[in-house]
Amino acid sequence: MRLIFEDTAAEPETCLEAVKKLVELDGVEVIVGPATTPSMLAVAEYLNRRKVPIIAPSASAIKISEEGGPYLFRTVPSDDLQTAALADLVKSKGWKKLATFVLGQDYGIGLEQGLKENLEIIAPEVEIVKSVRYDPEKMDYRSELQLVKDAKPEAIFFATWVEEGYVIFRQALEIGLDEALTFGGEGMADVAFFDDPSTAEFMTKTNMMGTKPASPKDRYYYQQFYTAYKETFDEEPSLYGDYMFDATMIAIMSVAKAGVYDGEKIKKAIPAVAEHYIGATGQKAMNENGDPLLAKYDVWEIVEGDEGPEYSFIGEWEKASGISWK
Amino acid sequence: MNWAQLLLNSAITGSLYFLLTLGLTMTYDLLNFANVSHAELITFGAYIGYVVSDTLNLGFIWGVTASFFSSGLLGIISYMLVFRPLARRGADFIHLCIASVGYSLTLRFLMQQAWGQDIVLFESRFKAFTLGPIRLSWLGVSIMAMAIALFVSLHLILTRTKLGKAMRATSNNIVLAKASGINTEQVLLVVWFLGSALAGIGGVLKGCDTMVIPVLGWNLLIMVFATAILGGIGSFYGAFAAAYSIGLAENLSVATLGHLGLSTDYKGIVAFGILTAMLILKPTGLSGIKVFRRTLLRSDRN
Repeated sequence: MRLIFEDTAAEPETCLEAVKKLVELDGVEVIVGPATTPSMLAVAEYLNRRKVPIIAPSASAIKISEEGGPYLFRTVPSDDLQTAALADLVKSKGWKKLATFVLGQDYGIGLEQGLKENLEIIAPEVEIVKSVRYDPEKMDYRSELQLVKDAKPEAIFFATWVEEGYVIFRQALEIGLDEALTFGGEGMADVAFFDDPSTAEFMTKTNMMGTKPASPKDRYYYQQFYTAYKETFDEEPSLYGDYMFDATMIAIMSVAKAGVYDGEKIKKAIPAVAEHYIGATGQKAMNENGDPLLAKYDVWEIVEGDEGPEYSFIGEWEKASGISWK
Repeated sequence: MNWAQLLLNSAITGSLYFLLTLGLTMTYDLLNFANVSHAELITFGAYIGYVVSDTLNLGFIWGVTASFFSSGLLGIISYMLVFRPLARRGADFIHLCIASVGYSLTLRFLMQQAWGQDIVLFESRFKAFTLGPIRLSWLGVSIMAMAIALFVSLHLILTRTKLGKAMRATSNNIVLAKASGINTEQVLLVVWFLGSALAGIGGVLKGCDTMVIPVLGWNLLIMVFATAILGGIGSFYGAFAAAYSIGLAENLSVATLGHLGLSTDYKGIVAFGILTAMLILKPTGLSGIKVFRRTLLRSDRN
């Protein structure tokens, strides 16, 4: 087994080029990655045509289930579950006036729409006073943030990537948008935000909370992954490091099960392998769209720790039981 | 809607566009080609500003000063090593444009090698304050003050000094300027230095306001070209008016799109709608200066 690495630069065009290089030049028959939804959707048509399966560790948008096709699989659950968890969080907090500020691409729009749809079902009294979908290349968001501020929401839902997040939260702090509370999905649960003191100040001041796909941290398989990771890299696993590990393991085991190195046969083996696979992130049995059937979400909030801001896990969400607070 | 805040945000955006556009419109006017590598001078200024102010910890003022001189110097080097030799060999508008694209990519990859692909954030050193209905940071104040100060300084240079007269004469008719005893080569070097140095200042201010990435200048280039064209190529006063018009149009369009629940991705439609309408109705731009003049290149060959 040989691992060949390519950098997608989180750009759909670069990702497609890299995937074509892997398939055409290196003869790769199964791929693990990419990180983002636009990249995953960019390679879908090509991989379905070439019959090469791909397992994504972190691209979580709902659109992948709807439009991805048979050769796309994920170890991360689809955001339709996460938006249900977020709606439960809003309801349990009793917020009535919300604003949303999301990346104007499939990931952000999917989260915004999913949250609204779930709120209409479980908390129709909640009013969305302002929805902003931002352009990630603009790099200046004062006017967008001012719209949110003028609408005077009780809480603001953010879905950004870290890079623009720095600018957005710096500017939010500058225009005085720190009186509302804030919350977000798994993208906001990244310690990289704390590298910038102003960003960390905004997130702490607004008592940011949210959800992220849970890993059973007390279980043997997670512990095994965690220990090996720390020993190898001498640092904490990054966001989705555990999901990446499981995606890679399922790919390797599917090649073994297929018996031949052939994309079509590996694709058939993936659901069968996932059915019985229990990894760092738990059980990975998949539905007909290639998404995990079971998913738990951690509920987190940002608190001021001894060494600065940190994520504190304050609850857990499951579809059947909703949020159980710790 | 908080109109006062919207106007203030527009003024900050417009000030940045003015600083970023000035150099492009000056060199465009004299060499009569669109210098795409102007984008990299912006990025270069931002990186140098970061290194001096944050890495070497010498303070923001020194960062801005270093950006000014470093980008200015890079502009002169670019002119002497790339564009002047090409112009002297008879390269026309399209050759120089394509050369500037290639040169731009070369500079960008060199900067990527030097500073990597990751984003660079300036230290947050500018506090925000409330003034009546508006919130403002000292960085916003600095950006607007810098734009106004440069506008006044350049106005004085152009109208009250020998150098300004020489610059205007060279821009108007280089052959006549040469015949009148003006050292046009020296004027060109000054214009390249000033234009590039201003791009560097724009870059360090934009980088401090947002973040520094290898495509910082590239992402701004379309708006910079839009401002230059709207103002009328070569027009210093036109660029000033156009920068603030585009800044206002951009911020108004964000507010309108936000109220309609649409993505602010579409904001470009408003700014470029204005630009297209202007080109159809008044192709010479706000200043009324003719867009296509005789070129340095032809006169240089003469």
